[in-house]
Amino acid sequence: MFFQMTDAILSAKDINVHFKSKNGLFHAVRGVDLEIFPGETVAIVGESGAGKSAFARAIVHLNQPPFTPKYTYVTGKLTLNSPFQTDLINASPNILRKVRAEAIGMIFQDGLSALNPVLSIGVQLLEALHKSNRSLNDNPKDEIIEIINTMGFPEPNRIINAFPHQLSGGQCQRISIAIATLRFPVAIIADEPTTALDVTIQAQILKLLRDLCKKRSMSMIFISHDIGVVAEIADRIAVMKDGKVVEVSSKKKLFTSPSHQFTKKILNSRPRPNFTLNDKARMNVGESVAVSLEKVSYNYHGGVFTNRVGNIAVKNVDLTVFSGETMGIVGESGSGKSTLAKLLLGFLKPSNGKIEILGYNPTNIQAPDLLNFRRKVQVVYQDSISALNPRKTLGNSAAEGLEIHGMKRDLARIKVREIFENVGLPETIAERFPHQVSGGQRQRVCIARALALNPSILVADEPVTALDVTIQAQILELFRKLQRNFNLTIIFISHDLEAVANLCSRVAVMHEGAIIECNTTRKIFKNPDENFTKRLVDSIPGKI
Amino acid sequence: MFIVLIIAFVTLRLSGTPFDMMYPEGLTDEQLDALQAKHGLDKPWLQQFWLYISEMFRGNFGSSLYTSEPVWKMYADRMPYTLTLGALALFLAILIGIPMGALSALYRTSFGARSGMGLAFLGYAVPHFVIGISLILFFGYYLRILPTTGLSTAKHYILPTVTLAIPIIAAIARFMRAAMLDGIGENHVSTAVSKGLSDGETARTHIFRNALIPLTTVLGLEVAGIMNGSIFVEAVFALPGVGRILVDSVTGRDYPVLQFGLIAYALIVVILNFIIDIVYVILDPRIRLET
Amino acid sequence: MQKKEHNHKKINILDPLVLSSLGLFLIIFLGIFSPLIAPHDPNFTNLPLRNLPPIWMEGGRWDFVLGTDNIGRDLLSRCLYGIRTSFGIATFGLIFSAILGIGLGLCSGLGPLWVDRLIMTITDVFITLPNILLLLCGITLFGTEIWVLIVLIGLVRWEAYARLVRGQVLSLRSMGYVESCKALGGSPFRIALLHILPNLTSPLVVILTLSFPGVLLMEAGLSFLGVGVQPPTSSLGRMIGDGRDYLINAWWICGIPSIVIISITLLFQVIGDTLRDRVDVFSDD
Repeated sequence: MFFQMTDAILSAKDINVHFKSKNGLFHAVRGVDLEIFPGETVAIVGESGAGKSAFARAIVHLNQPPFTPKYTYVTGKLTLNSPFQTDLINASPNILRKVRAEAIGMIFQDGLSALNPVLSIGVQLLEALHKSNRSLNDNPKDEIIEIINTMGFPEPNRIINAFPHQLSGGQCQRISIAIATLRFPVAIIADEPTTALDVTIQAQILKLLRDLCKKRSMSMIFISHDIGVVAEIADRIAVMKDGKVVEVSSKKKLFTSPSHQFTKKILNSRPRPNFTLNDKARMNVGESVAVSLEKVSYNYHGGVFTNRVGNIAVKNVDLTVFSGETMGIVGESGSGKSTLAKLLLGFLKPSNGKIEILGYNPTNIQAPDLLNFRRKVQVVYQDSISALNPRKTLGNSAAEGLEIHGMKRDLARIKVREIFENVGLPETIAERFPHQVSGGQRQRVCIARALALNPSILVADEPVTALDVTIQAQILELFRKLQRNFNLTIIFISHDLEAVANLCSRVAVMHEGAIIECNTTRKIFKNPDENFTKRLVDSIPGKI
Repeated sequence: MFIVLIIAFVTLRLSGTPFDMMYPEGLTDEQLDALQAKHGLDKPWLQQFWLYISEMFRGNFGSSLYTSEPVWKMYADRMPYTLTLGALALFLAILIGIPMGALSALYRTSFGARSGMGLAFLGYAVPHFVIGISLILFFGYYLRILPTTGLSTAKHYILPTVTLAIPIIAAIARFMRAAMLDGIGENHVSTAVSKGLSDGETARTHIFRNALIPLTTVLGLEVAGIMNGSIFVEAVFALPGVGRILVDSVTGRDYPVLQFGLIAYALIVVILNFIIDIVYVILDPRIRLET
Repeated sequence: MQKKEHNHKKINILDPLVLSSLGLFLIIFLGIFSPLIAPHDPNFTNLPLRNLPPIWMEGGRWDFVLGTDNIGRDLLSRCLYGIRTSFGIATFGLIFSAILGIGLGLCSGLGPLWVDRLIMTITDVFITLPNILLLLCGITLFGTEIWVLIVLIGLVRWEAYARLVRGQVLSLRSMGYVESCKALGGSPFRIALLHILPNLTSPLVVILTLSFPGVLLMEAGLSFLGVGVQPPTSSLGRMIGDGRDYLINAWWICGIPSIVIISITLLFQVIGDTLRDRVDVFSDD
């Protein structure tokens, strides 16, 4: 690439990072070599625990908070060449401060928690400004307003007096970017800066970062687990696995001819829209209606049981799901997807409207019908660690449904073994506890628990969101297989359009509590009716 | 909060109206009747309760069953001592406890921090009266440099104040340390460091300041702790404060006195908590801006 | 779970938890069997032998190892009996308040909203009122029998447990496994018994251990003021209260029971703190 004509502004040679813990030393980064050239964006991709963050944070010594006993050990050769020459590994605290203040900015994943909740935005920006070598105007406040302006805020005067909790996640992230860039650093390190954001906001933030880098010819180290996001922003990509960089190449080369096995694997694991499935699947769908919602609303002020959690309102939802179908429900955070799931399960009572599931009305159902209903409608949640009782073995957790429905304990155990095989789990896992197995395995146990009762309908509330992309692909495949084998009706709720498009025959798009559009996957993706849907689809990073 | 506590007085006083329990023993029936009539104890309890309330609003809180001294006067004479002592102790505790906790969180591996927290641990476990007695032994009898009873000079305040303050110092220091340690791991602290702030600046503006906010609620609870402690401290050092009247009224079953004590103490706690709520709102923008 | 098994495998004698537990068991043992162990009748007065110093001081005697008080009663025996009284009152008071607090906390967390509001209002009131004052009022009304003390101590201490249980229940209620159990058709009873209670135990054990010293000190404090346990029953607090008049001549009369009280509370504190740290580590895994 043309970047390599000039000298690297930052070069890392044989970087190793060790973390000391109770169980001994953990070798997080193993001999990483990487050079960053002026103006280029280098992305580091990898799955959780690959050491991407540990490496990037090691550059500015941010792997451990201040005032903690030293537990991070970084070795190797790490040099900053511009704007001044420094050995970063052995830098004195003063030099390090200078590097952080003037040379390298840092952006963290969660914008809200990255800002001090009790200081106003203006004060936090000012603090960063005072540390920079940037020549101050006569009035630093004007300077701040100008900075906020460049971050794309319409009302900078209001923002400087605001506190972080008054801003949205995207706005907080813009402020973080402002803090990182207001000192005109030669490079910024962005550690999963868009992971916590909705896809439309993500697109905006990526654009902001791209524009900033271009305008100031600033370099960026962009860390992400999402190869799609990386495709949007990177010039070069480094793929990390188990603490090592397995492949570094230009974006184009990596996507067209990946050389390493693992790179190929993550590229293939990306869920792709599966439009062929639709027509075939639709043919299998009988005309029998499994779920029907008519003008269902839920608002948190009504209802007999006032909830203490603050569920999001749902407005006037009409939805029909045929048996044997996989229905996707897609929407951003706060769109009311999860409330809808709770309504379907009968955990919340709608304030208006009618719900009918397999002939039952879940909101006023009495025993013994309730048990029959429960047997037929099951749920899988996003967070598998909280979905399993930490004090029960995985086998016992999975067998719980069978016991509730009157099966003898020994029989239930035998049945569970059979189901474990169906969901691709080794038998031996039954005796272990949730925290001893991987996230993917835990999610399989949750699916097994739901399947044990042989349900007709499975409500899956963001079941793959917390998983690495390779595991995600496996779980999606599992859902497909189960649907074929058990003739399940799946209601798949997700914010991830690609996962939905990969699995579902039809998609309903939720926005601010309402279903704004419900159609076949192909139609939603290729030719949506609503503007919002179009925006949502356009925001998918790195579309193929 | 205010309403809640007014309800509390009412219920507590309602629960505390069985009258046969408290008349002084060894009186003839006529004397008893006369006494009961004098204190309005012969009427049905609801009427008594009403009477009490209405009298209270007129500023009459009843008088001691023994000395016939108006109870408010008994308290008015003694309260300044107790309040001064409590305020001094709280001041001392804040003055020592906050820096102690903060420093031991920041330099937690140092010898000073460890021994400081060890002492705080001890201060937490040792009751007021034992602290008081040990201080009396050491400074009063062994070194003979400080007076041990009464409150006649400023010097007399030293030992009681220290005694009252030690457990609170321990509580504040322990809480402050925990809050600071939590704060150190917060994401926004990393942001502060990444801005190029020095450790000292980070600690001051981003860790210490934030830790002070939850501390205010703890201080609110400690006020009740000071009230508890002052009773013991006054007993140990034979001080002319309110605690003394309270204990005497318990042994003598001097009901109106105790009743007023409860109201007075609760009122103090309510007022202080109210102040602390205001401070909290000032310190924490998250609450300030919600309303 | 795994962690516990792990701990079982290698009990380290130098572990502060093990050490302080052993110390505590010793003290409890001494308290329970005080009638068998105590060398003298705790209330037997022996005026010629009054104010005897403990054995390690000049003038100490082997038959009164810890010395005697102002009317010649054996301090060792009185301490042992005192441990029995104080521990008994504190234990039963704690049990009573724990039952009350856990029960109300469960009601508050699992019941309808108005119950929750009511109970929380009451706990708010209790938290702000000074404990001792409530105790004093109660004692004035109901006297100083031991069971009255137990009930009163229970009544002023429950709110902390109620709050903890409520908070835990509310957070557990939204846990995926509770919702999953509901989705499987589990009854509220099953959920409370199998999913909520077991996960409540470790924080409860910690807070109960940590609050035991407070309860013990409360009883000791009342007795110290002379309004708690009445003579002739010996109680550690009462011994300190009585002994402080003889501070100059015979510091040991109140010094020795003080040391006993402090060691009990410290042991509990160590155990509670260590347990809390371990529980945190467990939940972080």
